[in-house]
Order: sequence, then C-alpha cells, then structure tokens
Amino acid sequence: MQTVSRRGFLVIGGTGAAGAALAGCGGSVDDPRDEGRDPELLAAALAAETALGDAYAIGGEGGPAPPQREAVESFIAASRRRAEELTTLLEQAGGQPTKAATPEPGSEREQANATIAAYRAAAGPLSTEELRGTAIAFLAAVAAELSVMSEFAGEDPAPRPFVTGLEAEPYVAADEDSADEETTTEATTTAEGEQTTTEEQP
Amino acid sequence: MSGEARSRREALRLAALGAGAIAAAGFARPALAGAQAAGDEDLRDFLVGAISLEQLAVLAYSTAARQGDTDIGPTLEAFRDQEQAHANALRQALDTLGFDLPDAPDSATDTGAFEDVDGLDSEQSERLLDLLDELGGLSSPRQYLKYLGRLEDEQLTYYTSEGPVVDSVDLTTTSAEIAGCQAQHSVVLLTELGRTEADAAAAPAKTARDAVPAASSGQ
Repeated sequence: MQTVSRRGFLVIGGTGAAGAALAGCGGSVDDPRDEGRDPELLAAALAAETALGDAYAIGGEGGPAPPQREAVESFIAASRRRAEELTTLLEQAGGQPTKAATPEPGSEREQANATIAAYRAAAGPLSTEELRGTAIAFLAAVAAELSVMSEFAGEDPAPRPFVTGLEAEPYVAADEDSADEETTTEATTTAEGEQTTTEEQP
Repeated sequence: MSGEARSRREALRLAALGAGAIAAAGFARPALAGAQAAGDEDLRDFLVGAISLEQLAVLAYSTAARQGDTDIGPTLEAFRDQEQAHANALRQALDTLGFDLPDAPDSATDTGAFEDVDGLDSEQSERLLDLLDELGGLSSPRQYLKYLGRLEDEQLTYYTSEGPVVDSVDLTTTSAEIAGCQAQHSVVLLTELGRTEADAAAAPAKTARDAVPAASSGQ
C-alpha cells in the first residue's frame, strides 16, 4: 500500500491502472512522465502481449474453427510483431523482460483485456511521445482483435465507449477542494488479472 | 474529508458517470482553479479538435441510422451514443478549463459549427467543413458505411498522433481508451462492407501505427 498526496491521487484516480503502476514504480507525482518508469511499464506490456500471442496460439479446445482460423493466425502474427517491437523498446529503455504467464486454453478475450489494460496503464505516463503513441496504437490494435473475437463468441463487438480492459469505469471524479488531503491507495489484481485501485481515507 | 467535500465529490462522480463514465474534474489538471494559462490553450486546442470530430461523428451516425440500411441501424445508433459519450466527457474537460464549448452541427449544412471556432486552426476547420459537406451528398447505405469508416480513421489518427503530445497524463490515457473504441467501430463497419475479419482488424491497427509521433518529436 502506498500513501500519496490527494493531488497525486487525483492523477492516480484518473488513470486507474496507470496510477497504480505509477505508484508501484515509486514514481514522483511531480513528474508523472519520468523516464525511470519506462522499463517497468514496457515490461508489463511485453509480458501481457506475449501471453496474448500464446493465448491466440493455444486457442480453445480443438483450436479455432476453420472460418476463424485466418483471423486468429493473423492475430498471432500481429501480436508477435508487437512483442518484438516492445522488446526493442524495452532494451532501449534499459529494462529486462519479465516472465509472461502461461494462458489457459480459451482465454484469448480475457488475455486481450489484460493486454489492453497494460497498454492503457502505460499510455499516459511513458516518457516520450513515440512511446505513448505506440502504447495507444497497440491498444487500438488489440481492441480491434478483441472486437473480432467477441463477434466470434456471439457477443457485442464494441460494447463500451471507453476501452480500458477493466470492468471498472475508467474515471473517478475528484475536485480541487480536497487537493491537499492525504489518502492511500492499494492496487489489487482480480482473479481475472484485472487491476483495480481502491481508496482508503486516513 | 468533510461531509460537504465528500458529497460534492460524490456528486461529481455520479455526474461524470452519467456523462460517459469519465470525469473532467481533476482529469485535465488536478488543481484546476478556472484560471487560464498558456498551457491551457494547448489543452483547449486538443479538446476542441477532438470534440469537433466526435460531434461530426454523432451527426453522421444519426443521419446514417435514419437513412441507411435498417439491419445495421441499431448498431449505428449504439455507435452514435458512444461518440456522444466521448464528446460529453471531452466537453466536460473543456468546460472545467473555463473555455467556450464548440457547438455541435445539427445538419450537413450547419457550417457555422466549424467556422471561427477558438481552438480550431484553419486547416482543421477546412477539413471538417469538407467532411460535413460530403455527408450531405451521401445516399446509399454503402456510401454511409464507407464515410463512417473514414471518419473513424480520422479520429483514430487524431487520438494516436495528438493524444501522446498533450501535456496531461489523463488526457493521453483517455485518448487511448477512445482510440480503442474507434478501432472497434472500424472493425464492425469494415466487416459490414465485406472485408474479412483479419483485414477488418488489421486496417485500424495500421491506421493507428502510421499515426504514432516520430521518435525525434518532443517529450
């Protein structure tokens, strides 16, 4: 559990997982785009992307149905390309890859949401425009793939106006009146791999 | 936190959820006091550009849902509502900064919505007016779908190229969330136009990738 100022919480509350990642990296709330956080944010995105590629490759029982195979194979290739690019960016940032989780069969959409959440967490606080733009572009790419996978599953391909990868609504309002108050936040991960941030008052 | 502050915060949260699951207070600038500084104009420019595109998309989806293919009508109406949710959230942020809110076009001939708007440069204004004029000339369901697909591309390019540049962690994050939604809209529109699922997913991915600011650009 980290304690941050109320001003810091407003940023953290606004960015959800991004804020949790920020706090977890020990970043200063005075410079939320300090490059010192890049390795951790990129490593988290790479781990999620690697697991997504594996999830696509594993597929469900018996693998994808023939009409879906072309799409899934293209998603595997696209995911591997994104992972390669992230690996390069991570090395340039001086970071090391972390071990990706082994996905369960049939977990493609769950893993896609986890990957979207990782890109969303990185998009705001990464230190350069190129890195932030890459995170946004990769989030959009995975969102597009998720849309197709949802359609295959007979579900709404575009259910929400704000694609976060999380179940929680993306923003919690706060106002400047309480800007100097202290609060605490605790990042938690659900069984589905979703990161949430909870607030406690002192 | 005092009871008064807590209730105000709760009211803001509820208002924000109603507006589109996003709150502007503490989002563009945490300790915003209403005063406008030089940096605020950069935030305004980003927000006005985004809102203008979103409001054009709302009009376009509404028009297409009324005049297009009835089979996809409910989907177009759902997408219209999602574009409106984006516009509402961004308008709330702009309002919090203390700037005037841009009018939404109410028809394809309502050119005043994109003329002489603070925050829109002449190139943006001309582009929006061209798109508005083009909307007025559409007739077949397929024409509408193609047009909507290009509008989604415009928005995806905007959020991927301008979202990383804006000096607000939260606005960049919001850009990512909206870009994800626009990419999903593109997939649905392209598959409706007959593209394979693989192609439909690859197209917005490429659009977004091509829009990423170059490495030599600023921090």
